[in-house]
Amino acid sequence: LALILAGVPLIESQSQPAPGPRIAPLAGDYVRGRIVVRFVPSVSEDSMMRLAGVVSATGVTHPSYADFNYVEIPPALDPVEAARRMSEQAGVVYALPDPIVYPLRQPNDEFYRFQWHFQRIGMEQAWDINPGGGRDVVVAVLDTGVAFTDVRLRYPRVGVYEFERAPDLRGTPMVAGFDFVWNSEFPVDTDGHGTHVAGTVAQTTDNGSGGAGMAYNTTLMPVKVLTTDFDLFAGLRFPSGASAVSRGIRFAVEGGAKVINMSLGGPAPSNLMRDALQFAVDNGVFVAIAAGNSAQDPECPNCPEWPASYASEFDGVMAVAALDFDFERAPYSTFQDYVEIAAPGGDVTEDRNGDRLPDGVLQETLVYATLSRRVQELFGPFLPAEVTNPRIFTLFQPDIEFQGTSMASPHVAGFAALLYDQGITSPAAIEAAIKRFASDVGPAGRDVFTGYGVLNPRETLRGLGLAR
Amino acid sequence: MTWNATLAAMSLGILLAGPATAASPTEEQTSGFTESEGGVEVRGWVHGGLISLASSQSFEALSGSSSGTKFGAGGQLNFANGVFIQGGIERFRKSGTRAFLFNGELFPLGISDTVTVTPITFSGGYRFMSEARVVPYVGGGIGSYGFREVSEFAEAEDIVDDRFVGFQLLGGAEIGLWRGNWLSISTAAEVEYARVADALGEGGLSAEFLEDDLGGTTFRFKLQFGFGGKEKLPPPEIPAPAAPRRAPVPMPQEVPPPPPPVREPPVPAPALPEAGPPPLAPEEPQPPPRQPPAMQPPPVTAPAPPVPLGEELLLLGHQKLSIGDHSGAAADFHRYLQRYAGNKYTLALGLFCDAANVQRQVANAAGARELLLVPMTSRGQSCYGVYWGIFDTLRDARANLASIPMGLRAPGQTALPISRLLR
Repeated sequence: LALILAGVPLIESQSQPAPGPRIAPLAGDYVRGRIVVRFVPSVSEDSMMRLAGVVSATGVTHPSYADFNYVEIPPALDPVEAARRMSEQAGVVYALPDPIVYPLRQPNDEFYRFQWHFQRIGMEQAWDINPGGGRDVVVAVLDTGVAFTDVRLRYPRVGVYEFERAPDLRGTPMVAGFDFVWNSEFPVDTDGHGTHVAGTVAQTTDNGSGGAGMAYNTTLMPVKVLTTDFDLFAGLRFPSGASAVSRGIRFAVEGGAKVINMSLGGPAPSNLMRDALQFAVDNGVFVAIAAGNSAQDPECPNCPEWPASYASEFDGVMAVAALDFDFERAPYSTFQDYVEIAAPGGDVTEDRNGDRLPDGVLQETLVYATLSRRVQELFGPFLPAEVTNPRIFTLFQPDIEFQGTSMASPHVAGFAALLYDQGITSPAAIEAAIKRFASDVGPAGRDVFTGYGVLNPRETLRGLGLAR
Repeated sequence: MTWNATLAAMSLGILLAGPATAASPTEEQTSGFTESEGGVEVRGWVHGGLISLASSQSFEALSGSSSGTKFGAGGQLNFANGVFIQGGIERFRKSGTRAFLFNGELFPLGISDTVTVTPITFSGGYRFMSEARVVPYVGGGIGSYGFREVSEFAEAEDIVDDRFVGFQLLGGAEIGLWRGNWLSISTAAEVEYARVADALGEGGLSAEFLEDDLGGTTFRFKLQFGFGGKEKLPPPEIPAPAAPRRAPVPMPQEVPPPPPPVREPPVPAPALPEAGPPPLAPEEPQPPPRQPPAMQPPPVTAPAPPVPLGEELLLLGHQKLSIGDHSGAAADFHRYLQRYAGNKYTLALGLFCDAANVQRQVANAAGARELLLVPMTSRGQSCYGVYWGIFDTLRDARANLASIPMGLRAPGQTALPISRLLR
C-alpha cells in the first residue's frame, strides 16, 4: 500500500515541467534547487524556516566554512526569482542565487593574456578536456628550424655560431629532427619563423613565463626544410626547395611523428611534395599546411600555393586559412577552393581587442639580425658577431607578433595532436572531426575564404554523445 | 545466442507458456485471484528488468552495449471482468564515453557520458481470468519518456533534459505466491515493446546512425502486492431455481450427526417443491420469512421429528458424498444453499476438477457436515467448488478460518458470501 500511495505523488511530480531529481540539476547560469541566504544573527532556526516559506523552502542548512545558509527550494523555482523574494524578507541580510562555476584551465604564463588567438577559439575549455595532449604524440615542425638546443655550429662563410634553446621551449619534450638545408642533425632556427610556429604548437605552458602552446605536453620534432637569409649569408650553396620538403615529410613520418605542420608554400606544384603527402596519410600522419598569404600580393594576387593546393586531395591533409581577432578572413589569407579550415593568423595592422598590442599571433621566438641581407653580405664578415648572430637575442618581445597563414596552421596542427591524444588516431578522421565541429564563419557553409569555418576545439574534443 | 535472440526467446516463451499453463488448470488450491470483494483490487509492484534498446547502434557506440537494466514501481487497478489499468515509473541508466564516428569506425574519446531514461507509463489491458496458477495478460498504453544526458565537461547548454511521448504494448503472465485475507503477493514476468519516435536522431551518435527511437523491448520481473483481493470463482453452470422465501435453517454445525454411511443403494432424493415466489437478488437481504405452513421446517429437537426439508437436502448431500456421488451431493448442496443460505457466508477451500482430488477433500473432511460442494465449470470443464461451513456474518466466517481441519487447509482460503456462489 505504501508503494502505491507513494507512487501517486511520485508520478505527479515527475509530470511537472521541470522534474526535480534528487540531485540538483545544473540549468541556466545558476544552481537550481537552492539559494544562498544570510540571515541576521538574531534569527532563530525556526524563524529561518518560517521566513523561507516565502519560497516554498524545504529546508535550511548551514554549510561548513560559510557565513551563510543554503535554503532548499523546489527545483522548478527560478533561483533568481527565489533570491529576489527571499531578499525582501525582514531578517535577511542577503539572498543570492548560486552561480555555476566551471573549471577553466587558464595557463599562468606571463604573456598568456596577450594570446587572444587561444582564448578566442576556446582553448581554455578545450584544455579542461585535454590538458595539452601527451608526450607520445610527436608533432613535426617543418620550417626554418627550431631553437631546440644549445649548440655551437660552424658555417662555411661566417664560422662558428652559438645557438640556444628557446627558454620557453625548455620544458617541451623534443625528439631528434634533421636539417635538410645543411644536411645536419642540428635543425636550429636561423630565422625565428620556425620557433614561433613550434611555440604555437607546444610552447612550454604553465611555467609562469613566456606564453602558452596548443598542445603543450606533446613532443616536438624540429625539421629544417626552409632556407633563410642567414643560411644564404652563411654560405649555403643550394637553397632548399620542394625536394627538401618532401624529404622532411618522409623523415617525420618514419621518425614517428603523428602530426606534421608545414607553414610553408610556393607558387609551383611539385609531385615530390604530393607523393610525400600521400606517404604521410598512408602512414597515419595528419598534415596541416598554411593556405598561403597571396591575397594582397601585388604581383600575383590570390595565386594558389603548393603544397596547400594538394590538401583537398587527401583526407588527412588540411589547408588552413588565417582569421583576425573578429574571425574575419585576414586580408592576406589566400582564398582558394583548397581552403578547408580557418584558424587565427592575426592581423598586425589592428588592435581590435584593445590590449594595446597589434593583433598578431604571439609566441616566443628569436629576433633575427636587424641588418638587411645586403648589408650583411657586404659587411657581415667585418661586423661584430652580436649584430649578425642569429642566436637568440631576445626570446620574447611583445612587439614581435607575427601574422600569416603560417601562424594559423600550427593551431590546427597542435589541435590535431590533442585529438590524436584524445583517441582519434586516423588522419582522415581527424580532418573529418575538425570539419564536423567547425564553427561556420564568413559566408554560410563551406567557402573559399574560411573553408568549413573556424576551428572549434572544445566541441571537437567532446565529440558525440547519444543525442548531442 | 545474442541478447536480442535471448530476449525474443524469453518473450515468446512467456506469451506461449502463459496461456498454455492457464489452459490446464491445476488441482491445487487456487491462489492469485485478483477480484476484491467490491470487484476491484488495488495492486502495487516493484520490478527489475532488462531492456534491448531500439537505437541499438547508438547505444552500442556510446556504451559498448545496446541493452541494460531497469528498475521501477507502479500501481494497478484490477476489475472483476479482467480489465486492468495501471501506471508505472521506472529508470534506465547507461554510461559510456563520448565518441567520434567516421566511415563506420568509432573513436572513443574517453569522456564519460551518462544517459538516463525515465518512462512514466499508463496502460490498460486484460487479464485472462482463470483458476489456474498462471494468469496471462496483455495490454498497452502511452507513456512520457524522460531523457537526460549529461557528460563530463558539459556546460549547462550541453545537458539534454527533455521528455517525449511514446506508446507501449505489453504481455506477460503472473503467478500467485501467497494470499491472505486482505493481502496477496504474486510475481509476474512481462515483455514490453515501447516506441518513442523522434526522441533521438537530431544530433550526436543517434544522428550518425539515423536512429530516433528511445524505446525498446523490455523483459520485466515484477513482485506484486495486491490489497483487498478475494477469490473469484466462476459462477455455477446450473440454472438457478427460484428461491422460496424461507426462514434460515439452522447452521450445519447444529445438524445432528448423520446416519451411518449407506454404501448402496444410494438413497433417492425426496421430491422437492419447485414452486415458489419469484427469486430474490442474491445480494439483497432476505425479507422476514412468510412461508406457507406446509413449507415450515419442523423443530429439530422434537423426538423422532420429521427431518426439516433443508436439512434433508444436507443429509442427502452428505450421504451421497459418503458413497462418492459428488455430482449428486453438489446438486443437493447447491439447492440447499440457494434456498436457505443465500444471505450467509462460507469459507472457500478451493476449486477441484479431478474426481480423485475431490474425493481426497471429502476424505480429509472425515465426514464433517461443514464440508460443502458446489458444481462449477472451469474453461468448459466440470469442477467443484469446495467450501466449509455456513455462517451468518462475514466476521463469523473469518473467525472460523481456524476451524478448517488441517487436512483441508491451504494458502489463500478466504471467506465469501454464498450469494456469489449462486450467480
